[in-house]
Amino acid sequence: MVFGSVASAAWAHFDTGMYTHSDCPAPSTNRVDPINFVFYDWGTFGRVVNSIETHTAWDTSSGTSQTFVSHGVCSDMSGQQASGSIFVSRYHIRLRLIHFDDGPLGWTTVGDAHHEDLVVPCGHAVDENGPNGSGFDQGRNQLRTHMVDNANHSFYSTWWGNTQNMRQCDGDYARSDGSTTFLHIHQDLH
Amino acid sequence: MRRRSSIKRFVGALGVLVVAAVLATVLTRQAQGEEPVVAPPKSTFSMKEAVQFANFPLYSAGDSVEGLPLVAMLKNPPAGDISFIYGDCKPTGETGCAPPIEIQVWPACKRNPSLYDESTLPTKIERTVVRGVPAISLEDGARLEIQTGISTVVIFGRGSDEVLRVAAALQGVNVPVNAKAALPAPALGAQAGDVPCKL
Repeated sequence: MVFGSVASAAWAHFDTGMYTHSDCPAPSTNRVDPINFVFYDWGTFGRVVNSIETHTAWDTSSGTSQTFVSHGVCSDMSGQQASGSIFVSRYHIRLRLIHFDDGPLGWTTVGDAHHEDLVVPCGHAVDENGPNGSGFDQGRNQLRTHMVDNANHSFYSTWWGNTQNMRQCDGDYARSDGSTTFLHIHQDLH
Repeated sequence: MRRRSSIKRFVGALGVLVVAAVLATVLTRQAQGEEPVVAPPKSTFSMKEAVQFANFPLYSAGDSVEGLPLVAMLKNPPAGDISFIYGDCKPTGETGCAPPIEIQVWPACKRNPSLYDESTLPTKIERTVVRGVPAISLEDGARLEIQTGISTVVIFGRGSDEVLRVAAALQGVNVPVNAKAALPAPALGAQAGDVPCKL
């Protein structure tokens, strides 16, 4: 677990589920992906998309819809970014603007970064758990590398423990390693 | 030589056409609301390996719990924890799904309550006692983490009542602990992660 230089003070109103869901309402039975990324400070949806598209090649927005929960309310996602179309293996993240936190987090958007393989004939399957982590860990790490190493956004990581395994269409299971990245987003657009 | 490379190019192009055709069929089926083609669950660990496992004590709920059969066992790299998956679910060609019940057994050196910073966690932690040992409940009871010996037993379920019933059903796989009996007390330092990792 890596802790950056930003102190993680208590949050005033930050409230999010730890998984995306396939629909609303959102009981634990329709969980889909672990949430493993939080964009904060000026983490409005438009700024997050602007940063992702500027610093990565995740500039397509194709894929199915999922839902997110905040303050007990289930809502459709705000959008999604991917490194390719639905016809290829790719990196992918679905995003949801949460709300403004009057503590240290400010505006926040959460996401479920992952890498998914195109598996014939079933479709997209997140890479199974492996020595380098699952597709969820690989997606989170890849996005963080682009944003931090290549673009100097600061970050820190925190343990959420949301390690429930998710069954994929190819029969494998994939899960987060339980760590969530908090990435700072600045006010200015690129 | 020229003929061999022509054949290679032809075979490659044919392969691309076949994949494209299959993909088009899959996407058409999904667009028409038909069930996607889904492979059965795959295990990466076996009960034989679990019984012989010597790194840390393992617990499962037996062959079935809450009417759900044990459908898969996993050894989850890189942490090395072990999962017992009960019941199945229906993924689609674009989304995975959460099986109804999962028991994940971790070495306490890798997972323990000290990892959580409650001031920055988007779920409340409730401290409790389960089968005589300390436990924490999160996500409104849908997740329970039990400290016993040098292990942390994590239960994911569909609600707090079910999770507690699964906890009651836990039995040792490589240690002689019966269901409903008191669990071994956490090892000294285990809750703080101050135990060596034997992996």
